[in-house]
Amino acid sequence: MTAASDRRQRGSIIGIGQTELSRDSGRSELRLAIEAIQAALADAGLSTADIDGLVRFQKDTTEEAHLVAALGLPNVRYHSQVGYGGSASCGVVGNAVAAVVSGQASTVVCYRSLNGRSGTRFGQGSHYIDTESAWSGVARSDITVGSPLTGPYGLLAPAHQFALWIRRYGHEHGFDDDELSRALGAVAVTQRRYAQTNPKAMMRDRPLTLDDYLAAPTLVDPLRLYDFCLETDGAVALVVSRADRARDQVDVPVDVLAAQQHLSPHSEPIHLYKRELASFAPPAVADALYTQAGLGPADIDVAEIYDASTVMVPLALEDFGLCPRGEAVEFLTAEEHGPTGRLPTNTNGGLLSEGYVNGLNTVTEAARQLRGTAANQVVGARHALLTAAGASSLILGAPE
Amino acid sequence: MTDLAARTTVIRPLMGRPSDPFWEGARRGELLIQRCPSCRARWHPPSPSCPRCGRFDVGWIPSSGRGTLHSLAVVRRAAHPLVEDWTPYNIALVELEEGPRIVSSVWCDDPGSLPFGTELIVDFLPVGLELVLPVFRPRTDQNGEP
Ligand SMILES: [Zn+2]
Repeated sequence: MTAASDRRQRGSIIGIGQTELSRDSGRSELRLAIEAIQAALADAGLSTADIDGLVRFQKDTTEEAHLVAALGLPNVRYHSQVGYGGSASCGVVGNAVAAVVSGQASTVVCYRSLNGRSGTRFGQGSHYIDTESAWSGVARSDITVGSPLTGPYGLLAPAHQFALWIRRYGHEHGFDDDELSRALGAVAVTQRRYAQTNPKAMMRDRPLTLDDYLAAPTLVDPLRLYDFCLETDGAVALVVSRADRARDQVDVPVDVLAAQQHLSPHSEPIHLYKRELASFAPPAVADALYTQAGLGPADIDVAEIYDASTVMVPLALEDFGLCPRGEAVEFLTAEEHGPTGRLPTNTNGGLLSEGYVNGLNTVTEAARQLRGTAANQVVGARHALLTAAGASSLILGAPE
Repeated sequence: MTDLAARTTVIRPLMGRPSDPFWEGARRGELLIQRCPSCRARWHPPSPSCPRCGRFDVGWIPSSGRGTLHSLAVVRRAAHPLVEDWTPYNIALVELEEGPRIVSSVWCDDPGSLPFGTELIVDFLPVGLELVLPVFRPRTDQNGEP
């Protein structure tokens, strides 16, 4: 399908590494990053001297310079960062591809390391406002959560925006909170089922039924405890090379068939003032992604969707044409995202049930699916679509 | 839902930010949004130049205070100790008749079951000594307490 000359215009994932995922790693984020990168290099059969580029999540506290020193990387000639939290999770791969295709680097490591449970916890209001006393605080955030315009009203957690999105979605498509909850519950329950057969998953020993889901406390209508991702300590790294060279480096390179980062007015994650509240990106975004890959929605065998909340799954499925607009509730309630459904989705358990490495573990899961080595392998998976709330997206392909 | 006047805690906006005029207007009983004198675009949140024509001499104008409910969610578990006193409370996105949407809160009985599209009118409620919070009430509700 792909001519050898085209491979020079394309990137491939040639190594993946992941630490254990836990509530308390007992070690620094720098150390976790080193471990994940070493694992990714070993997976690719490379040494530190082969690495000449680094791409980091802007949110990551592990600086490139510290990694270069700690790993003893002698040849780094490219580094970049991708912003907006977990929305970077597909964007870091896109940046690495841009670097290797342009010749600015040949072998680039992308990484994310966080002590997201034992260290800074992003779901907490204290992350966005300063407490002055027991009776007053100051909303000072630069993002939509806890900003000077939203914090005084108590908009203090990403969860609050997720609820505004999905209730608007329900209004536009005629679903009440109970109907939404059955679909979102199906996301949580099915992903938990995937996690139970994924040895890496934090929730592998914690089954979840729809009754458990519905009985859990509501944080913000209609979202319950299980509508939100885990808080996790851990790190993930992956290695990107140019697709033509990748063939000589590893047996099973995973090709990056399309990569995109999207911004439009007020689409910045976590969006609030965007005109379309119940959607991440206009149809042109999906169209451009599929065009770049030379594929369409019907060619996608597995979807790996950034799921800080269950809410993101139906919105992303519709934005990328993986189910028709307004039909995600039926799609999910019918378990079409499950192992025997039309489109297995978040097959590692996702950020809800594997763990929250800010979405880079979602990318490594897609790579495993296309290598044929996933814990919950989708038989014959050739193409995976990944999106982090439409803000960054990928289509990955198994080697032809 | 605790009445605003009965709240014992407050979250104030950080001042020294582009949003300062919004809060200063609220203290005068005005709901301010930004407007371009050249192309008449109106928008929120504020920005230093007109997002439609690019001019920098943008200003603030009072909104009519009328709008419709675009989305609303009732918070049932406090995300911070400072809002435990308010919980449950609602966060609303209100579409003003001038076009822009703003984050606010709706003040009525059972706001969680208010249909989206309901017509709303602004009201200005003091919280503590320093902050006046623009909130909204259903327009049928505007002349009386809920
Ligand atoms: Zn203008």
